[in-house]
Amino acid sequence: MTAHTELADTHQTMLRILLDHLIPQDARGRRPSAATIDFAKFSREQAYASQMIHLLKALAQLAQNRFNASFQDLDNEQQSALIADFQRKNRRAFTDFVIRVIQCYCLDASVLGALGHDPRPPFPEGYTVADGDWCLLEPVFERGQCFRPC
Amino acid sequence: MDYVDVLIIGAGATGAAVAWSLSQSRLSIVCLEQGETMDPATYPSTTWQWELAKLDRFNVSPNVRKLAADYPINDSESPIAIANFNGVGGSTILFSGHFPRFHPSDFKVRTLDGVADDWPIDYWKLEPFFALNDQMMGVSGLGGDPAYPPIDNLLPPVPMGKMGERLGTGFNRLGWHWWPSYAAIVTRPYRGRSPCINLGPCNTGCAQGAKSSTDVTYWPLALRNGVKLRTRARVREITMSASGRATGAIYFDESGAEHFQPAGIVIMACNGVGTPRLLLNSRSPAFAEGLANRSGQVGRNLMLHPLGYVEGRFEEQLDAHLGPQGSWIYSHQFYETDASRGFVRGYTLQGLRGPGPVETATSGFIRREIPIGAGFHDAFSARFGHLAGLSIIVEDLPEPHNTVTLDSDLVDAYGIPAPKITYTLSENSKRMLAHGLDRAKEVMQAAGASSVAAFGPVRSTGWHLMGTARMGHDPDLSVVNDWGQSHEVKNLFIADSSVFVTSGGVNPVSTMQALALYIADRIKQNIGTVLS
Repeated sequence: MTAHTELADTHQTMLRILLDHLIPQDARGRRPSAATIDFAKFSREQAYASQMIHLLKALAQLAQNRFNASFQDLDNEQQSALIADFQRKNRRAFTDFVIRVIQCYCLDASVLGALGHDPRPPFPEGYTVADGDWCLLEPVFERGQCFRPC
Repeated sequence: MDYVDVLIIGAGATGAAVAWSLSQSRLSIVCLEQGETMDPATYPSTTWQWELAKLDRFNVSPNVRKLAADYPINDSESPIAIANFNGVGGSTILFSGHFPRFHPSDFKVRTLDGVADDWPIDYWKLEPFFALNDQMMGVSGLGGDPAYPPIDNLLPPVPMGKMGERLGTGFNRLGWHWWPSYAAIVTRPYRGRSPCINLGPCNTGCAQGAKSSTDVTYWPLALRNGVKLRTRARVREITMSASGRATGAIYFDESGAEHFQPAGIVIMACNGVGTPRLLLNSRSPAFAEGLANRSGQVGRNLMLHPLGYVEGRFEEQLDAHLGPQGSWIYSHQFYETDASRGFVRGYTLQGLRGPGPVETATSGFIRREIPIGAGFHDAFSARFGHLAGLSIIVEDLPEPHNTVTLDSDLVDAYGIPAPKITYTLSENSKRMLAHGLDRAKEVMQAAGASSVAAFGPVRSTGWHLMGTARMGHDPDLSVVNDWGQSHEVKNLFIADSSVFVTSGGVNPVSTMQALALYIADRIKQNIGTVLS
């Protein structure tokens, strides 16, 4: 499991749990949970770390207010309900957070490999694309000129 | 600075073409470009994070990029945000390479359809320059297209792929025109350039050099012929003599120091926003309302090609995300005017290949088609490689109230007033866009899409900047004559799409480069008169 570096222990634990809720391992076990990616590192690179910590603190406060417990001590169902409630109350910040999680997840080499997408930059190898059947154009050609002569 | 015969402002699509053409003479030529020379090794397709680069440093909007080469643009009063790129190659660095020509009818809009105006030139006058530009740039496509007069010497078309075949089948079921795109992308080794290897994100720069941006086509030849290209040079104004001739330009270098470049001829190639901005900023006692603007037409008649987008999702995995992103197939079924549709003029349906994994997932989430939680993976798998798009490029008509003016507050890093865009869609454009969205949905459904989404006008699509220094015979109604020469300043020329009289319904680069070559040719024919 990739370490969520440079976060306080509490926030590291919260982040893993939250990421696992957002994108869990798939049912066949082929695609990893988002908890396995180093989102904290990604956030630092994207200058998003302080917003992420602010979001985690707000989530922790909501857990205290609603359940009088820490987020990580709630059961799975309670955590899901809390995340949904948090999303409703903080739509813009949560949406921004999820988008960044998705970006980080979809750029992870192990995830790309599990998606069947070669985990490499496009250049210099490129990709192979079939030409296609140009005979499909015959009906178009046979219908003749379709521009106005002038 | 030493005097030169020709000063070209802007090293983009048309500045490069003009520079090369004139460099074949013995003229001394300097080109000033506010951006820098690009390094393909730094293009996003060389990294895993290429999709993220589109969100900042390779974003189409200068207001998002905020690079040193960029200037701010106030487009808050336009539903379409301006897109450009400032550097050697200009917007060809970020363009998709989709390269159709205007139709012959696009030059005769008044005569044929009773709206707008006719151009003072026509397709046939430009045809040799279209052919020359295709040769210089390297253009792929397929001959025999019923939507055009014969176009020769094309390289083989970009591959259609499985999704292209599916869409083509849809067009065929409807009995509608479609054809492989004309693409400024070389598909075979061409003039020392390597062929396309389907990197995908053409619109963040081509690391392969297969996309025909002018930094790899015209500029190497122009520089070899002796053109002096000065980068990181922001022009503040064009200067005038008391006798009414342009004398050169004042510009800032990268340190902020001011310089004057004297020249016998000044040619503007700053795009349909940059050119009127510079003209309006170049005031003098003789031109209190901006240089060459006694007609009041500078900055007016802005045309932007409102764009709609339809996305189809298909059950099968069709690898739709692979291949040149914006050069694929296109349709001109609804290009020529048919008044029974409820609007005049027409539009292009341009195929767009599917997004990469990051954009697939984020756009799916935003549109609530990919949930968070347990449903994420299956929903993502149902979309990645399964999506294809059709953009609707709408011909908007020239309207004087659609303008580029100078913002009263906003300035660039050098204190030069920024441009302000004021633009509204006409009722004709709105009806055309609605028609196009419905037809594109029909294509997707005929092709077997399991779901279709449609929207428009899409905001971040103001790539095509036209009409703001229009050409014409009447000096009261136009800024330049039929070969780009200012009516009022005989050694001042405009060679970019500012001079367009109408916008057509296609990407403008092919036509504006052909026009630039034509203008350069006429300048060479009249060089004695122009320089005297």
